[in-house]
Amino acid sequence: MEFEDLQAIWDTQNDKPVFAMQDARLLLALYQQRERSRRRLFKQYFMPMYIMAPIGLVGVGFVFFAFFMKSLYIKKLARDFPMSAWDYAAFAVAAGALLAIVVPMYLERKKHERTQEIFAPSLREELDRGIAQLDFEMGLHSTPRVERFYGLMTIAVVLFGWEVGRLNGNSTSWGFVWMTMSLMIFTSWAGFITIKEFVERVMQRKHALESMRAALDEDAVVLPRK
Amino acid sequence: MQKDEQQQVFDGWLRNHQGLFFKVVRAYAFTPHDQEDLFQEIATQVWRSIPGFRGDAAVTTWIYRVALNTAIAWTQKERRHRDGKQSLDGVEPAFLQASPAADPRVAWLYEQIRQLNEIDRSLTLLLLDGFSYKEMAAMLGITENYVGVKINRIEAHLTGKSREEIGNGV
Repeated sequence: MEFEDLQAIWDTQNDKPVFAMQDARLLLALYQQRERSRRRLFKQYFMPMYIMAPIGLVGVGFVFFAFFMKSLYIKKLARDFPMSAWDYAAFAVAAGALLAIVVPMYLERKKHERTQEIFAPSLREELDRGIAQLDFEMGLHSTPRVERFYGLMTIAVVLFGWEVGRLNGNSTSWGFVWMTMSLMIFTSWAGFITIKEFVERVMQRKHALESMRAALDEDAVVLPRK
Repeated sequence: MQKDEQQQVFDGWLRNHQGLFFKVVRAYAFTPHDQEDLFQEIATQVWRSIPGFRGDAAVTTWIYRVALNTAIAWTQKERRHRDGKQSLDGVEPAFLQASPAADPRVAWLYEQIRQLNEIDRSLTLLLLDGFSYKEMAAMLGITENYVGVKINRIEAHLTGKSREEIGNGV
């Protein structure tokens, strides 16, 4: 056999794919990856909020109750710092801000989880669910959502602190307001940087899944995991 | 270069040149797990190399260069760590050869290529895929004369082996 014959043998493989996806194994790997993603998101994002929001609401309620009782029973305080309609409004807005963060978050997660809980019956559906999970993660970290979160959190913390100050005898706690605002601005700036990196990683994973789906449609090759 | 753009280029390269990836993988890694591992490694390195691609060379040349260098480095690393490595037998990889025994002549050819050293394997793949001596020399960082000498030996070796095989009636 001459080298040209070997060359001809070699060239026969150019006409057909050398490798193929092993669907069942890939499906399981993708499912496990999606499960890890869901668990991580719950632990790092939802659970802290589910814990913080009730604690915040209890705190607001406690301060409101203390203020209310003091206004009623401690005459000097009632005379110097009577609880006005503004104080009621401040408590209501602080509680409302906390609820406005956590309630939509809870409802949205519940709706999303209904589509994610079960094992997908096919590779195509698993890919679709994986992409939906990543879209959900990116949606939670979108700029308007993060701005809204930090805005509402700032309102809740500032009003809560303001009322705590009044409860302790400071009619106007501007120092606390500026300190809180500065802290929240710094926290949100740090948060945006972390989120940007996170979203880039999620985008890469999403592209990989989309490419796999396109490859599946074309009956082509599997892409590497990122 | 934006990540989106990089990903698009990568998707296109992988779609259009998948055969090239797998030829290198099949020549350098022998078990399905090693092949998957090497495929991931090559794909990652090719993805990383995209911002450095200026279009001076053909895409296939660029991919071959990255893939072969990655495969050679991977082989050396694997050899060093092989003893301490856990066996993955029993765990199936995510992709397998579609029909490894479909053409026994191709399988035989790969078997012969695998028996060569890393550089000769690279040269054989490049030779079989029609690269010139100049391109091979540039890709592997050796002189054209040395490529010529090596190629002559490889051709003689492979044709000799094929004649032996025919002589044995296989």
